[in-house]
Amino acid sequence: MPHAGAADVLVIGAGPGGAAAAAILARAGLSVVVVERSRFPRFVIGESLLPRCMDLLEAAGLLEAATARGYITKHAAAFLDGERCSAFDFSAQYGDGWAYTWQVPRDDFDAALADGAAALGADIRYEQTVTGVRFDPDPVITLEGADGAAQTITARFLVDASGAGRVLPRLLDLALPSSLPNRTALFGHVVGDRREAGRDEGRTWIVSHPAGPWLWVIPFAGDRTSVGVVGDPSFFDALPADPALALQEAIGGEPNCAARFAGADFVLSPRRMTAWPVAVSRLFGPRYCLVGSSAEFLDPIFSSGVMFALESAVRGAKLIVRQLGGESIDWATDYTGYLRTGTEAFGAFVNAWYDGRLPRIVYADDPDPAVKARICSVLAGYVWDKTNPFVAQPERRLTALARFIGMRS
Amino acid sequence: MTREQISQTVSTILIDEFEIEADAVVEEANLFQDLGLDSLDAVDLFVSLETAFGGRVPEEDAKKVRSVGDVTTLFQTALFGG
Repeated sequence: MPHAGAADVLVIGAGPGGAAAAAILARAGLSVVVVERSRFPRFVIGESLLPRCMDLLEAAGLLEAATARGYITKHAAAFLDGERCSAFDFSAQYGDGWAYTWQVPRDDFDAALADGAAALGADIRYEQTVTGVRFDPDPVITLEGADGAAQTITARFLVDASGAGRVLPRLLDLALPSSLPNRTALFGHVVGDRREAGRDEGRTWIVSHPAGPWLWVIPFAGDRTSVGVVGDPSFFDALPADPALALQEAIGGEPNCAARFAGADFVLSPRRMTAWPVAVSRLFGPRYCLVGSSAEFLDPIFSSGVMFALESAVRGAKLIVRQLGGESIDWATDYTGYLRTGTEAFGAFVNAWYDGRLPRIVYADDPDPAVKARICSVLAGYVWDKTNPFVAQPERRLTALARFIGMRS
Repeated sequence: MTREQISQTVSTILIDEFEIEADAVVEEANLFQDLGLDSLDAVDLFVSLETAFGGRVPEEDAKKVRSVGDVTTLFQTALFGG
């Protein structure tokens, strides 16, 4: 089999996690090859960032490349349920995190980050599918190109940033069932929705549908808006089989969305997806690590997917630089343990959303601003700040607060 | 359980778990202004006391609590028949 060369680090996937890891590794002077199955630009969901992403893009040296794209500013996430609306504005958050972020069409955003990583020295090869990996003891990766030709690459370290492709979980049999239930999503892009005015134009809507599911509304710069509905698979069985008719019916069944999308037309045909939550038995091995949703995906409700991909990529890449420089790294503590703090906080918030505790808190009349600021910090993605009680002890705090909501100091 | 015993448990938890100076924990002390708790701490205090006494207090009554003595009265009324 032809040999396609060697690199210090091979990264599988050129999405945000792969691009951020590659950028940091290349900036540290390592040779980096990124192999990407598709040809960019390509569509994926996960179109809303969290303020924490801005710190991570900055750490990777990719903030300028993304800023230049002119994405719409997301100042807040607004929860809507019938007549009730509760907005969490990131300028009113506990801690000193970023006060805003962006809504990003992922075809454009992912290409901008990948091009940014390439400009920093990463060698990105598109339309290359990983078909095999072995460790002897350095990783040897088998690739198949668009023309069907196979070749191998050797590296000193392997980063799996393959997202839903889940390359190493499949090839190394690492996949575990997630403790979270399966959910179905149906989504598309429209033009011509009724936008909110001014500062609110770019905020995310998380809308409770009277029949149980929730909808996302993510407006992009220009006139395109992403809309999707997420719920138990059973909700979708009662909708028309045609995805466009089904999404129209779901939107029409919720008054806020019905009003907003009355004059809108689909420009990206709605599509349906099921079974998201995933987990793995381990996030690292002697010469590999998993980042982003290849490792873990919780739920789309709080738009944490890209944030987790960037956080794990930045964290992992910095550890790889040290390991390849000769240091001994405690991956269990400094990688798995670190990431678990954030996923436990978000996991607790996801569970509290679906079992009703978080809606009680979110829609409380006259909330204590100090408490709201701490919850806002979690929703902004600052789930590694253990001075925040909702990060240090998320489950216990959410349970107690949901009971005694309305307590004022 | 007597009011004295309930009051003793309230004081112990404020001193041990919330690290408040024993001298400051008096009946009339305001939880928020005098002892420096915030609303999350107050929620935490109720949950700790519910665990200690093995019962639940009504949420609406809990929201009206302001002083250390109010906390004792809340638990005395709700769990020990006044």
